[in-house]
Amino acid sequence: MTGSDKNRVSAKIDVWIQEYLVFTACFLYFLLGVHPKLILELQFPAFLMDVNFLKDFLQIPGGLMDGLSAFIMRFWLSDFIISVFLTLCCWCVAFFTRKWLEVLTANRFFHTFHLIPAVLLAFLHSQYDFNLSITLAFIVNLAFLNLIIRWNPKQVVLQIIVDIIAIVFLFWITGGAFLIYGVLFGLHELIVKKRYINGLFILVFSSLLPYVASSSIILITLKQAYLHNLIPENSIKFLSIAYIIPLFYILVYVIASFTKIGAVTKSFEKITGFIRLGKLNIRWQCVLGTLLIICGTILLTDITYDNNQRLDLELNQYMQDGRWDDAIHTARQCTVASPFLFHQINLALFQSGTLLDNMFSFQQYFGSSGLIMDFNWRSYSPAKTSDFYWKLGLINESLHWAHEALELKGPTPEILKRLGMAYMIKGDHIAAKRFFLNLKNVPFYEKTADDLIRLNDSPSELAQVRDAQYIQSYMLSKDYIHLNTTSSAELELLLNRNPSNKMAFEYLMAYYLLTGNLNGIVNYLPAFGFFRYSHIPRYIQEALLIASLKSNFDQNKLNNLVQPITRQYFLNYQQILNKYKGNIYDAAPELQAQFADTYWYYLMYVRPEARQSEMKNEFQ
Amino acid sequence: MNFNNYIKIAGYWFLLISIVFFCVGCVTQKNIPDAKPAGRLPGIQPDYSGIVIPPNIAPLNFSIKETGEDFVVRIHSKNGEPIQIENNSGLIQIPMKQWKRLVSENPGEELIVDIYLKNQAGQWISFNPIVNKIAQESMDGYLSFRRFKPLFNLWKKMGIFQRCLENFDEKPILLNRLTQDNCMNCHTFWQNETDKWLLHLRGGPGTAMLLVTDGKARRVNTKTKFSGVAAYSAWHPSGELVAFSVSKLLLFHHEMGEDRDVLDRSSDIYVYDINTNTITTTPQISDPHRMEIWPAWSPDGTYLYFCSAPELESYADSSRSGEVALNKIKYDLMRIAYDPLKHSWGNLETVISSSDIGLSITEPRVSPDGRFVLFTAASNSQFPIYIQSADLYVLEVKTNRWKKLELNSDKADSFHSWSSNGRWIVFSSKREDGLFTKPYFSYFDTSGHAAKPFVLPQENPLSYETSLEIYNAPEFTKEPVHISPQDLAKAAFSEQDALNAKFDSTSVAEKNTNKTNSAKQVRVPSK
Repeated sequence: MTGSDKNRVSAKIDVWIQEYLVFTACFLYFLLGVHPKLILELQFPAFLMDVNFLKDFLQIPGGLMDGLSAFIMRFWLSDFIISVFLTLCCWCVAFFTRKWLEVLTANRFFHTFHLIPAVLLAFLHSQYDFNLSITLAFIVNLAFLNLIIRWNPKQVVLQIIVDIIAIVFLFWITGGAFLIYGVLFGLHELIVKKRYINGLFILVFSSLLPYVASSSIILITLKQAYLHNLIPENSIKFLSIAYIIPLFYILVYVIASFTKIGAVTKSFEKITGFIRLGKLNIRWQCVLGTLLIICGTILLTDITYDNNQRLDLELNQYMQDGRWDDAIHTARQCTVASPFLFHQINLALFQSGTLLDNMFSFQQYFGSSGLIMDFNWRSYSPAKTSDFYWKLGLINESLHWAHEALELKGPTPEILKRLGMAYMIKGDHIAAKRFFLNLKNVPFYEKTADDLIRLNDSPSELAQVRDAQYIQSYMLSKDYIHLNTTSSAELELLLNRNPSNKMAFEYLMAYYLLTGNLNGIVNYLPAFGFFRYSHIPRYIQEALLIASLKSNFDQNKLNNLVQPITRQYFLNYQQILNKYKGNIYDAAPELQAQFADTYWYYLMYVRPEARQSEMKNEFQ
Repeated sequence: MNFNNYIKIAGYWFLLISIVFFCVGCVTQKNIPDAKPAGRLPGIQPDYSGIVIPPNIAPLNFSIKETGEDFVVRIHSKNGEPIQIENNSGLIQIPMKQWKRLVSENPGEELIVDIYLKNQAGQWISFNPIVNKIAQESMDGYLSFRRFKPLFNLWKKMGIFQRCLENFDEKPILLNRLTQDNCMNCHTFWQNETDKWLLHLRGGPGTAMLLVTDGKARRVNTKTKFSGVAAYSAWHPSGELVAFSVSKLLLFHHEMGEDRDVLDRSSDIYVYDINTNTITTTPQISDPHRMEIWPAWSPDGTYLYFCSAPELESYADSSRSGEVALNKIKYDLMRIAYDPLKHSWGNLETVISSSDIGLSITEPRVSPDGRFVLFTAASNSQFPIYIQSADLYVLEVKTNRWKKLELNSDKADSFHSWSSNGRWIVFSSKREDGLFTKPYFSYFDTSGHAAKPFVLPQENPLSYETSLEIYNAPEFTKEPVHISPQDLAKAAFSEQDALNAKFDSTSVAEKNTNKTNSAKQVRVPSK
C-alpha cells in the first residue's frame, strides 16, 4: 500500500467517524428532542392492505411514494423506531450525496459538505408537518442519479432510450420529485460529460413531462404534476428550507461549471484553501466540520423550534391516551390559545373530575366555544370531535364527525373502529361489518378486527363490552335535530332525555358559567344531590354568590350551599373593588394577582360580555 | 451430442409436456357423480338469482357464501356451450368471451346457474339451480355516476365516473382534484346521449353549470338577479332548453335513526335556453308561495313535470314558535303544459297530490315512450336518499293510476334513470346496509312491471364488501362521454368561453323576489 493509499484509507475512516458522530447526534436529537411519534398527531398515515385502496396510489405520479410512506408510518410504533428510521433516511441522503460528489469531482475527497442536505432534511422532519414521502422520493431520485451517472450507456440512441425510460419511471413512482433527478442528470451531462445534446434533451424532456402528462393522460393539476413530492404542497413552516435542499445540488453544479474557467478556478482554490485552513490535516478538518455542522444545526433548531406546537401535539397525544393529568399539566405550559386547546383542557378537566372546580384556573378566553367548539373548529379536528360526542352519548353526532374524519383523514384504524362500533351499537350490523373488514386490512389490527367482527355477529354479547355499555347508557331515546351550532339547549335536552348523563350535566353547568346564565345554574342545583356531589363545586359556589345579590334569592339556601371560605373570599374581592371605588380598571392588577382563577374575575375581565344579562354592579 | 445438448432437449420436452398438461387441465371439466341435493338455493353474493338480465351485460361475477372445499359452477342456457368454473375459493369470475357468447346467443331464454360444492367430508352437494332470464332488449351501454365516501358536511375526494356496462371498464368523467376540490353533481344527459349534457360545480371560483355541446364545454353562470345556482336539471327533448331548480337547501342531523336530513327552505324552477343564453320562468313554476323542485320533461316536450309543496312557513309548528314540522313537508307531483313552438306555458295540473298518496313525491322521470312516470315517494322531504322509507313508484300517464314497484326494499330506493329503450331502469339503493348506495338495474316490462333488481356487476364481486364509497345519481348513456376530464376542468375555470346567462325579466312580472329572504327566518325544530 502506497503512502497516498494509506492516506486515503485513513481519510475514509475519518469520514465514517464523522458520519457516525453526526448521525448519532441526529438520532439522539430525534429521540430526545423531537419525540417524532408526535408527527403522527399531525399526519395520518391511513393504509389498508386492500386492492382498491392501493389502486388509488397508483393513479397519480408519486402516489407510490405516498403509499409507501403511509405503509412505513404504520410501523412507527415508538419514538425509538421513528428516530432510527429518520436517521437512516438522512444517512441515505448523505451517502448518495457523497457518492454523487465523488463522481462529479473525479473521486476527490469530501467531508462535511455532503452532510448539509441530510442535516437540513433532519431539521425539516423535526418540524412535524414535513411529509415522509418527500424524503423517500428524494432518496430514490438520488439513488437513481448515482446509478445513471456511473452506468449510462455510451451509444447515443440507447442513451436517450434509457434516459426517457428512467425519467418516465421516476416521474411515475416519485412524482414531481423526479425533477431532482432530471435536472441534476441533465446538468451532469452538460457540465461534466459535455454531452450537450443529451444534456439538453434531458432538461427539456424533464421540464415538459409533467405538463404533457397533466394535460393528456394523467388526471392531476399542473401544480401537482410539478410539485408533488418535490416540496410540500401545503404551506409548512420553513418551506424555504425545503427549497434549499434541491437548490444545493444545482448550486454545486453551477460552482463546478465555474471552476472549469481558469480565472475562477484560481480564486476558487484560494477560497477553498482558506476554508480548509491550509495546513490542517484531514482529521482536524473533519473534527472542525463535525463541530460546525452539529453546532450549526443546534443553533438553527434552537432558533426555529416551535415549542408551543410540540406542547399542542403532546397534549393531543395525552388526550388520546387518556392521560388527563398530564394533559392538564401540558396545557398550562401552552402559550397560544385556541378554542380547540380550551376544548381539550375542559375535556381533560371533566375526565379528571375537576371541571367545575378548576376550569377558571385557565383563562377561558373563548367562553362557550372553548367548551363545545363551533363548526369550523370541529372541522379542524373531526376525529377528536367524534370522540367528544361519543363521550357525551350523542352517537349520531359522533358518527357524523367520524365520517367527516374518514373523508378528511382517510381510513385510519381509530376512525374505522369508531364507525364500526357506532353502527354496531345502533344495530346496523351490515354497515358495521364493512368498517371492521377494512380495519382487518390495517397492519397490526387483524386480531382487533376479528374480535369486533365476532362481536358484531353475536349482538347479545355487546352488552358486556365496556365502551358499548357506556354509550348505550347515555344514548337518547328520542330524536332531536342537530344544526352544527352550539347552544345550552342541546345539553339541556340531552340531560332531560337521560338525567343520569353526568357529562351532559357538568357541561351544561360549565356552559351556564361561561355564558353567565346564573338562573340556569340555580334551577339545576338539586341535580348536584342527584349526582351525589360531596360538596357544591367551587365555581358553582362562586356563581351562587353573585346570583344571591339579586333581591329574590333565598339567602337560607345560600348558607347551605356556599362554604364560609368561599364567602370570605368573595368579601375580599368586593373589598378590593370598593378600595378602588368600583373602578374595575384600576382594581384590575390587584384582582388579577389574587383572584385571576375566580369566576368573578372571569365575568368581570375575561369575558365581560357574559354578564350582559345580569346586574351590572353585582360586586359592589 | 454433448451433455449440454441432452439437458437442452430434456428441457424442451419438459416444457412441451407441461403445456399439454396445462391445456388438458383447462378443457377437462370435473364430473359431479353423486351430488347430494341440498334442496335449496345456494347463498351467493351479490344476489344474482331470479333476475332478468340484458343480453349485453358484463359477466355477473359472484362469490359463493357456502362452506366448502371445492366449488363447481356450471352456467348454461338453451343455445351454446355451457361455462364451467371450478375452484376452491368460491369466487366465481366468469370468462368474458364465453359469457358474452352464451348470453348473446340466448335472448329471451333462461340462463341457469348450477352450483356444486364438496363439503369437508368429501361429499358433493348440489343446490337448486339459479334461474335467471335473458331479456330480448339490451340496456344502454354506459352508466355515469358520482362516487365518493358518504357525504356529510365536508368533502375532499369526489368524482363523476362512467362505467361500460358490457365489461368492467371504468373511467373518470371529472375528478374534483382537477377543479380545486369542489363539489360536483347532477350530471344530466340529453336523451341518454353524450354530445349534449351538463353537470354542476359548486364551491370556489368554478361554481357554475358546465354545459357540454358538440364536444365543447362551457361554463354557464345561471346566477342572475332573479335566479340562482342551478341544481336538479332536465333537458327538453329539443335539446335547446334546460329546466333547472334553484334551491336553498339546509343539511341538518338527527340524533336518532338516519343521521342526515335536508330541508328545502325555498325552491323555484327556471328554464335556460342554450341558444339565446337566457333564463325564463313563469310564476306557475316559481310561485313565491310554493317550493318547486325536480323538473322533468315529457318525451314530446309538451309537459314539464315537477314536484311542489307549499312554502316553508305553512309548515310552521303551532306548538313551537318559528319551527317547522318536518314530517309534514310533502311534495305533490305537478305538471304544466308547454308549447315548444311558441315557448309559452299552459295550464298547471296536480298529477298526484301528496295528500292522496300520503307521501312526499320527488324525482319524477318520464319513460322514453311517455307512458309512465317513475318517481320516488317517501314519508316526507324532497331529499329521499336520506329517508329510509323512500321507495320507487310508477304512474301510468294515460290512466293516472300509480303503484308502488315490487323492487323496493326496506331501505332508501331512489334516484332512477331510464334506459333509452324504456325497458331498463337503474336506481340508487341502500338496501344492503342502509348507508352505502349502489346502482341496481331492473327490467321494466311494457305493462309497467319491474323485475327483481340486481346490483352493478364488478370484476371482483367481493369489492363491494369493503368499498367505503357510494355510487350516487346513476344515469344511463348510450355512449361514453368523449370530452376529456382535462378539458372539462379547463372549461370550469376558463373566463374566455364562460357565459353569464341573462334573465328575461318579463317572465317574472308577478314573482315575489323577497321569497327567499322570508324563508331564512324559519328554523328547523331543535326539540
